[in-house]
Amino acid sequence: LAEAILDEDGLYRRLHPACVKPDGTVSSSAFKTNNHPDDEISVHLARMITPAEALRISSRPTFGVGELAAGVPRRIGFDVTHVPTDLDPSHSLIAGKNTMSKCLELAAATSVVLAPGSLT
Amino acid sequence: MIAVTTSDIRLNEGYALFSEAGMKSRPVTVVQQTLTHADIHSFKRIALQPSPFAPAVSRIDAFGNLPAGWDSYDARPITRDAVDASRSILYRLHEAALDRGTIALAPYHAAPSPDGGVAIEWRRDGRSIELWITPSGSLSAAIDDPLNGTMEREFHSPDAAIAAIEAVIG
Repeated sequence: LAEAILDEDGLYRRLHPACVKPDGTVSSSAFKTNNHPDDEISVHLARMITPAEALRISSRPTFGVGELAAGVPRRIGFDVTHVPTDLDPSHSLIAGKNTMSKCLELAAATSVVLAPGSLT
Repeated sequence: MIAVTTSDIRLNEGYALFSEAGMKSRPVTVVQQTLTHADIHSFKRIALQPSPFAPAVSRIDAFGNLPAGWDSYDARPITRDAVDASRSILYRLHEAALDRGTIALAPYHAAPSPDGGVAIEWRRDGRSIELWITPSGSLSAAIDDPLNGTMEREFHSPDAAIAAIEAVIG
C-alpha cells in the first residue's frame, strides 16, 4: 500500500559516480530526466530502505546515494508520491514539469549519504 | 618549428590537444613533413604537457561509452554529437586560455546527462556557469552569481556560449 510522504521525509536518489563533484556536491544531471515519456524522477522513500539496499536492488555497488527532503521538490512545483513496486516497496516518484533551474535546486538540496565506491 | 604528419600525434586533425599524452602547453607551428621517431619523442616531451583541460576531455570521451540505462534508471547513451560539441567548446576555450596564459577557463566538472547530453561546469569567485550540451549538440546554460541568482540562457551558436563562459569566469 502507498504511504503518505511527509515534507520532512527523506528521499534517496542513486548517483552515478560521474554525477558527484570533486567537492562532494551533486551534479544537476542526477535529476535530469531522459524526456521520455514524461518528467518523472524515481527515488526511494528513505524510511523504508537503507542506502546500501538501494544500490543492491539495482545491482550498482559502485554508485553513490544522495538524500533530499520531500519538501524540497514540492516547494518548486513537483508532486512527491509513494509508488511501491514488487521489487522496490520504497519506490517513489518526483513528478512534474522539470527545468534546468529545478534540477539545480534539487541537486543543491541533496546530500551524499553514501559516496560512490563505498560498497566496493 | 615542429612538423607532424603521423597518425601517432594527429595534430593536423586537431586531436593532439586531447591525446592521451595531454594537451599542448604552448602554440605549435605545423608544416607538412615526415618526422623521425626521435622527432616525435621530442615533440611530445616539449609540446605536450598535462593540461587542466585534459581531465574533463578524458571524462567526456568516456561518457561516449556509457550504455543505455547508465544511471541505473532509464538514461540514454551519450550521443556522438554531444561529445563532439563538448570537445569543440573545450578546444576553443583551451586555445583562448593559451593565448591569455591562464587556467581559469578550465572546467571544474563534467557529467553525463540522462537525456544523452553532457553538462560542463565552470566556477570562479562565487560565480558559476553550467553548460548543457543536448544530444543534438545544441547549447544552453544556467548562470549563477551571488548578486543575480540563477539565470537560464539558450545559445544559438558555440560562439555565444563561449562568450558567456568567458564573461562569467574569464
